[in-house]
Amino acid sequence: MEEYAREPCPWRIVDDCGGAFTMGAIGGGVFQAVKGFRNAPAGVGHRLRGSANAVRVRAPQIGGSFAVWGGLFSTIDCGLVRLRRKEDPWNSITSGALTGAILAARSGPLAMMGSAMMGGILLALIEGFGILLTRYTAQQFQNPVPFADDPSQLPPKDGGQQQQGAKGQFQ
Amino acid sequence: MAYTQILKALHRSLQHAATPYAVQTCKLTQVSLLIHTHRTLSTVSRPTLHRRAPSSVLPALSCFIESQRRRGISLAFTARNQSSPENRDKSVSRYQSGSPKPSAAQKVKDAGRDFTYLIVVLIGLGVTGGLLYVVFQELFSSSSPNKIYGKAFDKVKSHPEVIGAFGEPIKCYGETTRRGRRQQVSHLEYLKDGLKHMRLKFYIEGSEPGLKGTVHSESKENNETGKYEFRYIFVEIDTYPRRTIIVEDNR
Repeated sequence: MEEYAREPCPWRIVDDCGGAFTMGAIGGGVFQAVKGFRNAPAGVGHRLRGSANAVRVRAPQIGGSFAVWGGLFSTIDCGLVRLRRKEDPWNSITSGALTGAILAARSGPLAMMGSAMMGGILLALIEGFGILLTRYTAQQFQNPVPFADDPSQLPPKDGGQQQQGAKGQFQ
Repeated sequence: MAYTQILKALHRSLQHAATPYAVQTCKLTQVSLLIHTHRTLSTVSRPTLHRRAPSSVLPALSCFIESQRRRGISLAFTARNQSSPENRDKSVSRYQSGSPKPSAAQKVKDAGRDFTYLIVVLIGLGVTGGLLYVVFQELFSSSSPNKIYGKAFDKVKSHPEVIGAFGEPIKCYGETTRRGRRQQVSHLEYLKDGLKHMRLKFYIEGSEPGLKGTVHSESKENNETGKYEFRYIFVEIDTYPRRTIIVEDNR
C-alpha cells in the first residue's frame, strides 16, 4: 500500500534523470567500446587501450545527455500533470515533443520543429508499446467467464440479483 | 553532373599515368621515391577514389601501402606483387572499355544485400506503423478506454457532491506502474447479451488532504450509434468514513 500513499510526481524527476543516465552510460559504454576497438591501431593491446579510452571519454558524455533529456522530460511531464490534473498518454507525448523542441532551441525554429516531431513520435511509440503490454498482460489474467453482476455498492434498482464478489476482478 | 564528368575524365587520365608508374615503383622498392609517389598519388586520387568504384585503384594503392609499412621486400609483398598485375590489367581494360559492368556473382550479392536491407526496413516500418496505430486508436477512437476515462472524469469532476467531498481542483490518475507512471487506466471489456461492455476503474484526489476516491464505471455500447453510454458511475471514498457517491445511474 505504500505505493498508493506516495505521490510520484516531484520525485519521479530525480528517478528518471538517474535512470536515463544509467541507461545512456551503459548503452553508450558498450557502443563506444566497440567503436574504440575498431578505430584503434592494430594489435590487441592497442585495441583494448583504445576501447577503454573511448569508453572513459565518451560514455559519461552520452549518459549526461541522456540524463538531461530524461530530467527535462520528466519535469515537463510533472508540470503537465499539475496543470491538467489528469494523467493520460497525452502528457508523455506532449512532454516528449516539448523536450525535443527545448533541447534543439539553439539551432533555430526549423530544427526545433523537427526535433519536436521526433520526440513526440518516439514517445508515442513508447506509449503504444506500453498500451500493448497492458493489453497483453490483461488478457492473460482475464477470467474465462466474465462477471455480469453489478457492484454491491449501488442500490438495487431493477430487483436484480445483487451479489458480493463483483469487486476486485479488475486486472 | 558536370563535376562527376570532370572527375571521371581526370580519373581515367590518372589511371593511365598511374598504373605503369605503380608497376615501376613496386618493383623498385626505393623507399623515398615510394613515399613521395604515394603521397602525390593519394592526394590527387582521393576524391576519385570516393566517387568511383575503388576496386580498380585499390590494388595499386594497397601495394604502396603495404610496401611503405614494411619498408622492404617481404614474402607477403612479393606474393601481393605477383598476384596484382592481372588484377590491375583487368581493371585497366575494364576502365578503357567503358562503363564498369559488375559480374553476375556481384550482382547477385548486391541484390541479396539490398533485399536484406529492404526486409529490415519493412519490418521496422511495420512495427512503427502498428504502434502508431495502437496509439492513435487509443487517443482518438471514441470507444477506447482512454476516451471513456476522460468522459467519466469530466462527469465526476462536475458533480457537486464529489466536489463537496473532495474539494476543488480534482485530479485523476490510473494504476501506478513501477516507474511512477499513472497513465494506464485499469479496464475490462466483456460481452453481455451481445453488447460490448466496458468497466473502468480509476482514482481521484481533491484538495482535501489524505482523501482518495476510487471511481468505478461501466459503459455499454449502444446498438444504433455504436457509441459507449454509461450505465453507472460511482465514487467510493477510500478513507475511513467510507461512503459511496453515485454520480450517474442509468441502469
